[in-house]
Amino acid sequence: MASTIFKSKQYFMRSFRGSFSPFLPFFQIGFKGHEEPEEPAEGSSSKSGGLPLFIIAASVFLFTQLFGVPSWYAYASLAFMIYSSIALFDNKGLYLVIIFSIWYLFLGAYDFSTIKSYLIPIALAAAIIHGIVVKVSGKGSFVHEAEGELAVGAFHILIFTIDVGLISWIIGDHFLLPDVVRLILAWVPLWAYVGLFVMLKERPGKVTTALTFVGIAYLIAIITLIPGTVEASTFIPGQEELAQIKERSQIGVNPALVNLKCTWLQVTGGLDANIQACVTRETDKVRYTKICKDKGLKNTREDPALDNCIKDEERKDKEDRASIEGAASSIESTEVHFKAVAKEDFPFRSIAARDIYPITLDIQNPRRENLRIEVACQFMQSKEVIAGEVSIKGERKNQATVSDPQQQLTFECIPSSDLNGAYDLEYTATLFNVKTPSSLKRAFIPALDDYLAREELEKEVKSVEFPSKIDGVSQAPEKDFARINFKFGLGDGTNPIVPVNEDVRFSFSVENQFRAASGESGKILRINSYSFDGILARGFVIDASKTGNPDCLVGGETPAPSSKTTKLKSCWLRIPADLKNIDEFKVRTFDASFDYDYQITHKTRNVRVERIVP
Amino acid sequence: MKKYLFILFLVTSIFLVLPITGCESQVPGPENYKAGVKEVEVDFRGDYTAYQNKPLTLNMIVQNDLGYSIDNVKVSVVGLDERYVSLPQHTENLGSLEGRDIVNEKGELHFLEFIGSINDLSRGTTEDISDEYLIYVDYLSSMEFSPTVCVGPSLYGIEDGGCKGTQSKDPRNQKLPFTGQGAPLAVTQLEIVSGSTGTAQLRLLLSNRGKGEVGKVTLGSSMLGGRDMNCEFVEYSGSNKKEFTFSAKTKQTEMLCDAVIGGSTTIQTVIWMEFLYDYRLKLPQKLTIRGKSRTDSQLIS
Repeated sequence: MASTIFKSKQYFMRSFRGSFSPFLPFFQIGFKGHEEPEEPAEGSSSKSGGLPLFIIAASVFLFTQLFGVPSWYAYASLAFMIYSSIALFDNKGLYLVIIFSIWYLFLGAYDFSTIKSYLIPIALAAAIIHGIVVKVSGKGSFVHEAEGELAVGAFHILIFTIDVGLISWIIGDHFLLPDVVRLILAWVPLWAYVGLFVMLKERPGKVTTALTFVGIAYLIAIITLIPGTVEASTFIPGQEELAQIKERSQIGVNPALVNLKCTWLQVTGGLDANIQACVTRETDKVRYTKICKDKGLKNTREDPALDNCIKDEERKDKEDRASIEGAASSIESTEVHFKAVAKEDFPFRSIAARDIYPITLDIQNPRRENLRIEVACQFMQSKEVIAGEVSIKGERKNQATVSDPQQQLTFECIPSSDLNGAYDLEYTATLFNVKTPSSLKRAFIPALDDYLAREELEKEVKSVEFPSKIDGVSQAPEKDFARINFKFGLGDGTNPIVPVNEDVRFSFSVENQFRAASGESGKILRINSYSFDGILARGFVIDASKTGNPDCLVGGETPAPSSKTTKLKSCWLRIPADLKNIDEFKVRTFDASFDYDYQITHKTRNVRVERIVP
Repeated sequence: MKKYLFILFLVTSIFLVLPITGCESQVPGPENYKAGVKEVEVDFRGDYTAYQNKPLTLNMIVQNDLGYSIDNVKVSVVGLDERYVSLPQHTENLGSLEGRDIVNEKGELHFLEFIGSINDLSRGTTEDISDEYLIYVDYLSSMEFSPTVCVGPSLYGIEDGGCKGTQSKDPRNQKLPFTGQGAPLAVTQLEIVSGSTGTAQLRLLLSNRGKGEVGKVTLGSSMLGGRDMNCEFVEYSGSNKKEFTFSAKTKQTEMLCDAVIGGSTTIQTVIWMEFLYDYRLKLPQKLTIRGKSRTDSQLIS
């Protein structure tokens, strides 16, 4: 078994059940049996060192997830690492993991990236201490089993690093681990599984079998019950699903727990026949609670502020979702993305305190808009932020205007003060007055008293003009940073067929649809203006006697929306007189224009400056 | 000599007579223009593809292929997206178009043209815009139903020296199928139930066998052997029992007529019925609108 888990079979097989260190007698308590293992009783795994590890690691993981304190798990993981080294590997790697733990507690927890500098000294210290102990105890020479000490210790550190979610640090920014793997790793307590493996090896029995089933069920829940993957023919979730899972992870929702709860509800005939709907609802519940708790709200006898806030959030979300959908139009998209320069041109490790850090903006501007771009950069280390000075084409300036359909804009960032150590380098590009057009198609049908005749006409118009759902929703360039989605008609305005004898409700939302590349994020900074030109030009007017925003058809500067899709304004419209007297149905696509400022941020991690002290 | 003269006469006679008899056998009888299912034909010859900021012409020939004249003919172009297409006139009234008859075997036709233009597309539009629309042809017309039938009070098919009806287990009850009467609206089935007291009841199935939609149908006149019948639709519209309005879902309706035959023997006689109806033919069309860049690139190539 060990050979399948560990690469270095010899070390691990020899390490497993070796002698116990005389220098750490306190660790012997409770694990004496490892020196002279007894034959296991059938059906019992109580004497396995794996069982306590499994139970404690799983419990701590569950506890920290439920109470939203994942950082505690990291500290507990240090203890698991030491325990594993003592109880499962008979002290192999113990010195290394202890020194590593001390380093982590004092330094690593704050900036794990410094391990690159400390790894060799830690390993050397471990090897030296190990050598001295072996020599003093008379078990062999100074280098006796030193390689075993280091290999097993390194294995423990690797498990720890992956388990506490520092996988991205190991693989770095330049190698993309599939998101699904990252997410699975994030939700699997590895130490518990290490314990389970050991139990399988040492004490196969009923308890072990039962726990193995639990472990496998949890893994299956994580992998396959991630919503949307069950019915799909592949286990690899699509982009949207991954985005949902990511969102859940960010707000602290364990997909396995949610999925298991929803599966249970379905099996027991609970509320939801649809697991997906249940998962969405449960996830939303956690999200609303988190938003409200972050506001510092609590329930009291007099004032259930937290509950009220959760209800409000739910209502707002529903409004937004019911709202205003959008689809991709056939208009070419304006896209701007950060693109790393060639590896050899970027000083990931530098000895210069003020080196030049270049990056390229890849600009796709097929609509030939005049894009005014302002760039900035800063170096961040823990709480310290050092501003960067930007130069474009070698000149000290931070703005450029681009109107070519395709352009690459390389700019350089120079720190304004000396750097020393590891930094995250953050670049920002702010685009001013970005214009994204949207359009919406509607068919107007004459007033018909006969319900059946109206139904027939609606059916006919739908089949000719709106054969698919997206024909009736607002459309905008697919990859623009943001878009304005709008709708109008009877009821909530979703039906694209509008009888001309009734007033119609109009509403619009703004959607941040930036497709972030690796290390990127984007946000709408401000809305400069919006105008539903097509609706105004056709003679529609706002019905001031009804509820709604008087500036719903045209408006100036508006605060930036807070969520991905935010419903902004709504009002009632009066249908123009000439349209009221139509004999046959009429079709019109309405244009809207949207002017906004948008900011894209890109983070390059672990830019390191090692200053040579003369 | 006489012998040769006789042979010459015979051969000449044969050569003279044969072509005449041959011609006679190939001359068609008068075509029944009021049979079968017929539609107004629209031969669309307009633009299927148009370019932004360019004129648009939608040409078509409307031909009356029915065995009846059609009146109040109106052709409309409906459902073109106003955002992309400017069409000042969507409808054209053509008045009347004569149907097919012995004088005009092809029916009257009319050429018409809708002229408009394509508007500017949004900047950056890469794909063609597909604009689906409909051509409506509306008209009023009539349809005649005039079969010769055998009716009478004869019981159990006893030979009474009169005519014979169709083979049926109950000779008093005849079911006659019809394909059409030269129009989209057609009587497709006639059932005659003869009574013993010189009366008969006729049950007609009136169907829309065309591609379009029949609107309101009104019974004009109805006679059996020169005597008026009392007819009414089973599901009549409003208070007028001689009117029925089809819907898109309704494809057929029933009419019942009471007739007096008179006499005690079966007789061969003619039914005469006229229906007035309005009709809409719907022809789906698609206009592909292309952006400027595409047009230019095509012109260059």
